[in-house]
Amino acid sequence: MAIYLDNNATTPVDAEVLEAMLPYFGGPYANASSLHRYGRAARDAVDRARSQVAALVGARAEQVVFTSGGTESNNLAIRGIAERHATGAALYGATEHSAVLEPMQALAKRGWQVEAIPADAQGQLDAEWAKQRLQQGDVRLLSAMRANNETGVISDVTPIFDAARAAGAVVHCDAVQAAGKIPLDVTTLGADLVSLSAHKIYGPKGIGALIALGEIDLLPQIVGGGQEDGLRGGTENVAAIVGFGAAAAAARVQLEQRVEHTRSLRDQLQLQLQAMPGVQIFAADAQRLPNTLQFAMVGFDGEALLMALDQTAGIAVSSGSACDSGKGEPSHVLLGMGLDADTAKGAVRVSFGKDNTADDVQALLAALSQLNPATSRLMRSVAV
Amino acid sequence: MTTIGDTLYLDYAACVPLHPDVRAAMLQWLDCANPSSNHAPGRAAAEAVEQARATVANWIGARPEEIVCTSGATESNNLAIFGALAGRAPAHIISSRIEHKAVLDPIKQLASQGWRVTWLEPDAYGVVHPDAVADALQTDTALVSLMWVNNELGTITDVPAIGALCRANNTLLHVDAAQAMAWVDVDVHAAQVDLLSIAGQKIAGPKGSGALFVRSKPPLRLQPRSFGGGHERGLRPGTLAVHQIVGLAAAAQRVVETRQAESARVSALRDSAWTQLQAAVPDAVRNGETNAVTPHVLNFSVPGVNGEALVFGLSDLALSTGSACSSASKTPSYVLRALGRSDALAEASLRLSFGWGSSPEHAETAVARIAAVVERLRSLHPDNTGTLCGDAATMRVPSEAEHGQRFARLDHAACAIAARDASGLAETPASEAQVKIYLRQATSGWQARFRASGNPATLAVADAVCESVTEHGVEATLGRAPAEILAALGLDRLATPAVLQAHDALRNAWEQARQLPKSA
Repeated sequence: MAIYLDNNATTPVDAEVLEAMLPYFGGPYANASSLHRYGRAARDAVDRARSQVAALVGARAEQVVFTSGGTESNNLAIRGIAERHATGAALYGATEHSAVLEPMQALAKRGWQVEAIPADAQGQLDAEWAKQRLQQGDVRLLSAMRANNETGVISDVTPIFDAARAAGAVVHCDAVQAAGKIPLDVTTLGADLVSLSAHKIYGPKGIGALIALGEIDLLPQIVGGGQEDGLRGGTENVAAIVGFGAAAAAARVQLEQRVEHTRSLRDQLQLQLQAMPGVQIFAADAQRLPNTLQFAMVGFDGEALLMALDQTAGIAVSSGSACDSGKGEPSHVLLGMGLDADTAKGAVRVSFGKDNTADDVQALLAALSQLNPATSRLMRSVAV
Repeated sequence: MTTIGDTLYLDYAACVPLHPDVRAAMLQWLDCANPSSNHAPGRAAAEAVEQARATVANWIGARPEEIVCTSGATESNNLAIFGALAGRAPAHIISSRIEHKAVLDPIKQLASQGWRVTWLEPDAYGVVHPDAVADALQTDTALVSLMWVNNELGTITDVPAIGALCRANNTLLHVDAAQAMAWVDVDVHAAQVDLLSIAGQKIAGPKGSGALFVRSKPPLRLQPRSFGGGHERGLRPGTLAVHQIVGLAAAAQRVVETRQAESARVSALRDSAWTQLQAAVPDAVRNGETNAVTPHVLNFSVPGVNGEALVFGLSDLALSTGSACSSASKTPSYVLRALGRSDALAEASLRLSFGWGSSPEHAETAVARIAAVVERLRSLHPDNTGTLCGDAATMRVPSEAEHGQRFARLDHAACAIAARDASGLAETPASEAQVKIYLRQATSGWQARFRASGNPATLAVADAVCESVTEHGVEATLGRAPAEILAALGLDRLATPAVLQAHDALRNAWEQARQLPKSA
């Protein structure tokens, strides 16, 4: 059976989540806009899930806009703000996910002045740079992620967010990787808009949310039907929403436990990797998501390494973002942190989940040592 | 499918319950890797997606690369309409007055940006004719967007004829086929359709699944609406929801295998329901009766009864008074008004829609129930057939002298009820009286609104209780003696149950309201 160490790409659906969803898969639950009893039952289920998702991040239920996922949430935030203005300036973190990067690039094509906030070698955004840039007064929108999907780096975004809002910009935070992995409280984060996704926290794919705090004038991107307070048209995906709610509720309750468990696995792996010659761990000194470790082995191409792990040992890891996989390009995240293209192309990302075990770590180390005979002797001496 | 209590499900046009076969297919793929991931489990997920895509493509005569998976028909319609026209200089669009909101709203948005729109009128049966399209086409018509089957009436548009007209005029044709896919044989290339929207939930597939067919030859350049990750050839980014896509395909495959038999079975069921209803309510008016109609919809209006009272009396039947998406707005169906029905008749219309779980017994029970309620409403004084909906701000408690006015229609816009208001319901099955009270926190305190049906005392008391909430607050209102409230209204002590019922409704709403998070 495959060993799955790619939980930042997607997580397995938790048994509890599946159980919560099952009644809504073919039960008597109808279109949640219908006024009859079936419709109201669906509506009640949606509203309960809305409260659960809100509670995970300290929001209020009415601030939750359900979408089809993190990418849609990011697009709704960025395009929804930008399209209220003819043009302007927008800032984003140099290490953003492509679901922020590409909407920003689309704005640039439409005449927006779009600039990346530089990151240092540990993946931290340059707050001073951002504050200075904000002083010019033309920035309408700023988007930065709370935690990076590839390196796991947790950005200290709040000072930047506070400065941005003080300068009159609307602030968006992609918290897809952070939610459920580290404590997240939108009331102190400093963002106006926060993106979440269910399938990174053991919920189903195809459902996410945008938390809209305060009075934000967002232009809906999918219209027709007036659902989600007019911000997102389309019949609610009741089963998926219920699954998201259940996943959020479990994540809230189990947060500490998951942090400790994944951190211990990640630290075990890191300790042993650090003892191997030719292994470079990215952003090792930064505050990172407890479950994430990204590294490179000298002489190995990242894609080749992950293919080898997959084929010889049945271990699923990734080279970086799943959304960018197979493109053969070095990660823009790593390049943004000042790494050279060759090193960046060697990247392998291991992201643990709550169900991984210490055996999984040892299996990965064993497979790596087999692939890397020059280091296998050293590895064994450490591993025993 | 199972039911909630005794409520019969007759709303297949709003949502077809997920079929067990589809559910089984979905559950196999609910828990899987990210199909974008380059490892064995990721590739297996991607393979499942591609097989599903091929099934969907095959179903509509398309090529797999012409299928873009979306989160549903609303998203497909948005992507088609905005995507086809983005970046173009405003020109001319043709659509119709009976489109779904998911087409109307995007086109209205374009109209506000300078696009000229011809809104075609349907004929008396609710059909938009190719002739009307031919007359409306202009040299700069960039897009025609019409639905294949109307969701309220089941009427079928002659899409192939319109496709030929559009192709000849070098105009793009987008068809919202959400409601058609379960019943109509769709071949996109034969019909010369350029863009076609599909919804999983209308074919016993999952909610939150859908697709947009985008013609590839000659290539149609669609501008994406969202960005990031390049999924679906850059047209629709975001991690693919594998189980949803697999579910859509399983539902499509089911349609392919069962459509013919189901069409015969369901249309027989529908026709027999209409025959029975005509026998019981001879003056009922069928909406959208034509040969070009799908088997699943039966829409009719009942003259001489108040629409809301009718629906309220039928709370044990799950049916629609129009599109479910617009039913919460409580405006009379724009589709029926477009057919020339008066507001009153449009409001007193019911849409029964049938599908895989419907049986002749369901139809028979529903018709008997409808006939009984119509008879009861008509036996009451005509003025008494009203359902009041109001609040203290928009309505006064009528005096005895105003008795006739008491059941006058109210401005529904003024008493729109938000989905997130706290609400409490109290029902007395014996008298079929219902009171529902909605609470909302305003800066000045709690505001109450109500919706009620029943005898005059029920309505007057519900209103008085709501008014009291605004003036004295919830707790004080709950503490008021029934006799006091009745005396203020000049009502007899015999009406005490009406006060108890209103209090029950208020108490239920209050319980819910106190659980709401504090709003700003």
